Amino acid sequence: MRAYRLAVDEYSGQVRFLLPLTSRSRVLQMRSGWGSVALNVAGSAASVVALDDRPERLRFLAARRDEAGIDTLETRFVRLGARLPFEDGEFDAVIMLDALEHVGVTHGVFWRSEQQQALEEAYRVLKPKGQLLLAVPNKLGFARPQSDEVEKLQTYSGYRNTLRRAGFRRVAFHAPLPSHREPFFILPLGKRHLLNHFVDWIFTAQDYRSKLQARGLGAAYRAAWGAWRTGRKMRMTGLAKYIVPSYLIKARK
Amino acid sequence: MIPQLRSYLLDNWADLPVGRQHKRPRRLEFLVQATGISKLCCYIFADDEDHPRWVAKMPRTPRDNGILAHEYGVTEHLRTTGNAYVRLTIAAPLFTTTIADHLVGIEPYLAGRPMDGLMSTASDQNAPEILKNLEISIDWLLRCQQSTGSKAERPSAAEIENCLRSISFMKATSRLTASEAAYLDRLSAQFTQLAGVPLPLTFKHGDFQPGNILVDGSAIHVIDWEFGAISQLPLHDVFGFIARTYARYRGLEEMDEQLDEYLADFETVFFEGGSFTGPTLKYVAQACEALGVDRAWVKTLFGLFVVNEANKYNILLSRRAERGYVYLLGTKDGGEQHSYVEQLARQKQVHLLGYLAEHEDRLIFRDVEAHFETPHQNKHRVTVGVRQ
Repeated sequence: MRAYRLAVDEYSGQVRFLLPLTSRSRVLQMRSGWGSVALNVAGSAASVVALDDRPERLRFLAARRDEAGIDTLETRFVRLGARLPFEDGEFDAVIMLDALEHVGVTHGVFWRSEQQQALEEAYRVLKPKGQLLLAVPNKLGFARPQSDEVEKLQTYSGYRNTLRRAGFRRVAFHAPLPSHREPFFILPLGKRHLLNHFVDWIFTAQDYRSKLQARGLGAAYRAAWGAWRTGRKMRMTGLAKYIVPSYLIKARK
Repeated sequence: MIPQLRSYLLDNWADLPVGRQHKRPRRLEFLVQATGISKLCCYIFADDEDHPRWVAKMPRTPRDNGILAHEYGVTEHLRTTGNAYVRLTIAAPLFTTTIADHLVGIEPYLAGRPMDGLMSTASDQNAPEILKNLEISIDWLLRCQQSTGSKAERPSAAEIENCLRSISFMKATSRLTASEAAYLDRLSAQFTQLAGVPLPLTFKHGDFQPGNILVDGSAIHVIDWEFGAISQLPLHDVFGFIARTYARYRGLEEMDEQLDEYLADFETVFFEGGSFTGPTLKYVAQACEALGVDRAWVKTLFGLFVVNEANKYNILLSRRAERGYVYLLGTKDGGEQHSYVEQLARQKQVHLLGYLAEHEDRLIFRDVEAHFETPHQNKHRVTVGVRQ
């Protein structure tokens, strides 16, 4: 059975744990989708503004908000890549999950400059020391979600450089696994001992083999396991950060 | 949340229970893992050490703080009333605190591998690695229940009422078929008839399954007490463990994905000459002897176990529905799978908002009360359930 959580559930909402949010925080989500993150964050922040360019999504999110009795969530129709309707420095955090790779397509033509502009706008509306949380597929990612179009994606270095050009400093990469849409695990990248522990004591020790097989991902599991063992032998596990399926990137203004 | 937790630990290190045993680290790193529907678990690494030293457990939202508090209440009770073996095998938090409105428990990191991983290489359900771990698990359960349980006495009127609450709960929350309603009535009657036969009450883990047992050589730890309870009907964890072991071998990824089929075949598989009848009869008999359960109770206790499991599943669906989960229904080959719709539809307190259809990016939301349509051939259906 295809997992229901591919659509919406709180697994994606838990990316908020990477942010230093409090009950006084004001949060912007750029491209809300069906609302799992916005609804989750709205339960523990002072206010959340959710943007999307699909009216049906915003109506859906508003219906869910009203059903849940949440009064801290505002929805707005906004096309990403254009100037955002907010003053400079309004938000403590900006969340872009499953968003950047959808920015920049106009009449079927892809404009990467609009992705850059979206990040610059995120930078502008953040307060000083405010944080951006960006969840994106990796262009070189192993077992990357198949629906993503490669031309809209970037690599580890590409995202880092794009964020720096937008003005961000202190950029930290995490690997959400199995993907940024289902961040069941969130693993800081660049820390080899954490990666080793994850593979040796969590991923292969727990019974993910049969779980992934049940979801038709048995071959991907075996390939990943084989690649890991080879990389371990050749002391190349540090390269894993370049081929994880997705990134969860925290960048500070 | 994690940045605040990191600062809290480092800033207050000297005053914390961990600080009395360990030098303050320079850095802490966190590896996040979702566990279950309500919790998040963070492995905490100090400096560049190869293994985590602690595990921080926290609810996914502050409104679930009570679930974690309940879990800690159960383990604390068992450690207080049980013997040294209980204290050795059931971990407790080193301390708890509140960070950004979330209850957070800091627990010692327990080395070991989950038993489900150790069983995953089994070629069939009677393979040595399955039977060996089954033996270890049931032995642990019975030793701990003997250490903390009550002596067999006739159930009091209050205990009978409490035990039958699961039946009344199911009647109140589910739209039952006539045969299901008749079955529940028979079960109530059986229980009342047996009320003169002594029955010991024991603790219940509530989710006793291989994934919640860590094995490190000859040592084991039992974790995840979210569904734990004190003074419950005996044998339920025995039934549950055997059932989950069988389900895992059969490749049923999650119990909640195949529940109808799973429960319908239950008695055949486990009691009436099916492939797991041998181990089932052996461990049920062993449990009856160890805990002093009269065999006359077994059939009735099993019926109540099935009712409890169905209730647990319905509660899970209700909680997800309450949070506005969206259920995407469809199989890998594009076929449809209706079990979530049917399960939700049978709950009285869940109101189905309607159906969404087709690819995620093409979902069209029309109206809360309406069904949702797209111009394309429907491949996947999405159901939204919201508590009324």
